[in-house]
Amino acid sequence: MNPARVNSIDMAGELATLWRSASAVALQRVDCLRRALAAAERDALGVDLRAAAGVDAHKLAGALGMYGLEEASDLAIEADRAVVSGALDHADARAELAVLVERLADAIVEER
Amino acid sequence: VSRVLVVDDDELVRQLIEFKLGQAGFEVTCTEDGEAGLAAAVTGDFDLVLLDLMLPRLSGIEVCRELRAHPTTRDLPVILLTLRSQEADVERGFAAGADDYVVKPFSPRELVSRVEALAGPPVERGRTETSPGSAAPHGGGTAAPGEAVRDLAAATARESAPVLDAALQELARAGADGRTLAALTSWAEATRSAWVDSLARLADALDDAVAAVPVPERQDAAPGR
Repeated sequence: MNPARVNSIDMAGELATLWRSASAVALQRVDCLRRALAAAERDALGVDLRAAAGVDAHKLAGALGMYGLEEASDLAIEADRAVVSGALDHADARAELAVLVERLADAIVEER
Repeated sequence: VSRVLVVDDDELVRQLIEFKLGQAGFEVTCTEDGEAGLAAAVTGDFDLVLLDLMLPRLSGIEVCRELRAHPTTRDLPVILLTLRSQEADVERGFAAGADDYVVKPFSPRELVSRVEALAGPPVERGRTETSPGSAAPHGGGTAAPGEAVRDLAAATARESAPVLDAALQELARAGADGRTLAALTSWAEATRSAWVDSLARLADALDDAVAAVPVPERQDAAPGR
């Protein structure tokens, strides 16, 4: 975890512990997006996984900024917009979304 | 103590709100969907509801409408939680009777301010402000000696987190497996927590000790006794 960031969001012990468990949930959501992307790539994206990816992108967009993760929050908001606008169904947009999702994963891991 | 009901299906949002409002002195109850939230609001004794717009079972708008229709919750303040992309829905929320809204991701401090504006400051904190010998609350004027120890506890917790992370990363690079890392994390956090708790108890003891010291003015006011 970046010490400067720790100070900037006043992340004392309890909040740091909170973020540790929250980051694991956040990464599970990122994995859901990865699975949806992979399934869409194989033209095998089912209704349930599509819905789960939409919900998880939405939740990431809403939650990460509250933990003070500005970069991850911006990326999640962008990913949520992409999913809502149908990026999973178009190869070019899907490729861009895949890049976003990996940057998002990196940003979360960097703050763990 | 002012009681706040949080209705949000995202555990990350719920746990952070619970933590921050709890820290500010509010008593917080959380529910995960619209139906459960509505039931809790109607049967519980809350001073304010934080209501997510997009909820399973019953949407935030529907919950808000039901709250306004119910005699026991007609005047209960409601703050909607919404994403920027849903801001258009906020008008529907106001039409349904919401009092305010906050856009996610929001700053926890901003949320606490909004909650205080509608629910009033938590009573518990007011009591702390007038309690003799107690530490000054955040932003308070007089610093009790215990406050310095509390600052030390916070700094200890804060500074140890990056050290622990670096150590865990080093161990992971050296080939430690997930179970070992998890066990070490638990141990380190338990140790840190125990240390911080000890400092908190020390701070309270210091404040109590200072409160027990006779105030000089009292002696001056009764000469000759």
